Amino acid sequence: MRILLLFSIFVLIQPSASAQNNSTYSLIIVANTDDVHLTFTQREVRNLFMGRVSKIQLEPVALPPESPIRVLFNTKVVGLTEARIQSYWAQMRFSGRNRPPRELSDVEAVLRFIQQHKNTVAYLPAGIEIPQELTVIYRSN
Amino acid sequence: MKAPLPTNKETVLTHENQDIMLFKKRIKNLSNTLLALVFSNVLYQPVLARDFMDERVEFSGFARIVAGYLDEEAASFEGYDDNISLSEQSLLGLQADIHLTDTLTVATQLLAHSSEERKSGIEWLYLNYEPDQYWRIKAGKLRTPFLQYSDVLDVGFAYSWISPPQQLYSSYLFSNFDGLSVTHRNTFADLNIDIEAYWGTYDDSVFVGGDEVNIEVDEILGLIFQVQHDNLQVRAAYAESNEFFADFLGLEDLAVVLERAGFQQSADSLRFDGSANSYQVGVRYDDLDYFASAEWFRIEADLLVVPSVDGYYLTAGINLLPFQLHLTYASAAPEYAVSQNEIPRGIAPQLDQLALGYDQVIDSLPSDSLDSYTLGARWNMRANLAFKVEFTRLVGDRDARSFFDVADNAQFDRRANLYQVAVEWVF
Repeated sequence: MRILLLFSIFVLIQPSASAQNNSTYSLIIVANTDDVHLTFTQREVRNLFMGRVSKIQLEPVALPPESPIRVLFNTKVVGLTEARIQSYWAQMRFSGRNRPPRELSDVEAVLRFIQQHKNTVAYLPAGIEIPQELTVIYRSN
Repeated sequence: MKAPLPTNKETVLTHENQDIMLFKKRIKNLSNTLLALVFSNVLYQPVLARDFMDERVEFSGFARIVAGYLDEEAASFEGYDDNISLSEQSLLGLQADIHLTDTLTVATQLLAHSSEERKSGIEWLYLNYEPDQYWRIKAGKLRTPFLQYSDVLDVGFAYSWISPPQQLYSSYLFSNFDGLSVTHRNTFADLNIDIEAYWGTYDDSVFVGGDEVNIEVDEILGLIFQVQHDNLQVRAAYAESNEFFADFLGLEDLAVVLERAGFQQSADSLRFDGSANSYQVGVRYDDLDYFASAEWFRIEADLLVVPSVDGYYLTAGINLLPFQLHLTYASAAPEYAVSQNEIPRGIAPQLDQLALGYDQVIDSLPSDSLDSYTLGARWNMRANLAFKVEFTRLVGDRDARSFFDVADNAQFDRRANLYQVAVEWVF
């Protein structure tokens, strides 16, 4: 009986849990920009965070390497492993070509920072509540 | 033959050379003045500005500890022999980026190297001006960007190997120069395009086969074209070194004797006084599971004693988080221009001896022909720390030097295995 109960709870919970998982497994790219209709493609987002030329210059803000959101961003948007990205930035920095994005400790700190700084951009988990003055410029699948 | 004669460069200076020297000095002075100005500006900032110092001055660095062992008694390779050595490639680098304004930065890199064949000190020191995201201008002491990784050769963390293929990344290429570099970056369709042009001079010494050789290049010109499409990168580069002067292997001694005997053509053929061109093409592809890269390099020189060299490597790797496995095949084959011995034989014993001497020198010109097979693994322990192991099978040409420093010629078949382990760190 207890097993049955547990099972029914599990079945009942399952759909909502997977719905939640879906949103935690996707990302939004949020910018502090005057242009509320601004949208970026995946390639444009990648260019932005890899320090390449961008159609609109926005300062990218990143989460620390151990952050699961960052791993998700590397996998879904950049398409490179963290190790490769670290090597890339070592090459850029120590050849005097470019510097990696600013890193902030967690999602709250990132959100606060982009709220306070015009023309900044960051990746955040899709489920998160976004203040009105910020613009979602890209949604991952 | 071992001890090089003191070079009497001054006596062979033509007016043209003098003009170039003067120009070169002016450029050097100009960049020194610029840097002095910039530094004095930074030092005289009011005390209040200290609050912003953490934003304005960025310190970073890299370090590597590399141990290597060559299973060969009769020769050494890049300093490695049959004793485990930690001091061939271990190093520490410190970098300071001082942001003077939003667009102007002074960047410097100091290097402390454990190898006897590398100098410690300032690797580069330049002024960087980036008016917008499209343009970047650098002036000062810069890295020479001949190849894909040549400007980060000391930063082992930036690549998968412990030792990049010697056939291309050999130490005889000078690592920095004094001059100017202009880069334009842009996008076209779905491509990111970088075009860089650089110009400068070089006057320093490099180590070739354990000997310190003074090299002077009055003009280095280079052009780099780089295209990126998602995670595919293609790079093509051309470089030209003009008015090249090097005092190699004491060849000048013999050249002077030949010149006095009236054999100008033979004498000139031994002199490092001319130009050299290099061509490079490199490709790299990365995704979450695999990576592959290839690079080809060619040096052409109008000097008899500098061979034309063709070198390339092919690398394939697999990412097995947090590990990476990779395999590299590399090959290089140098080719000397055919020499013309103009010294007549059978006339006088002294002339016969001179002709013999000339032929011997030509025959003994080192040939670095080598195939290598490298199997390596990298463990990304932390975001800024990696541990690597590497095995390299070296297969050289029996009659050539093949990048080895040969101690016992009769005993050495130009085949050896190199084992290396390394810790790479960036901070």
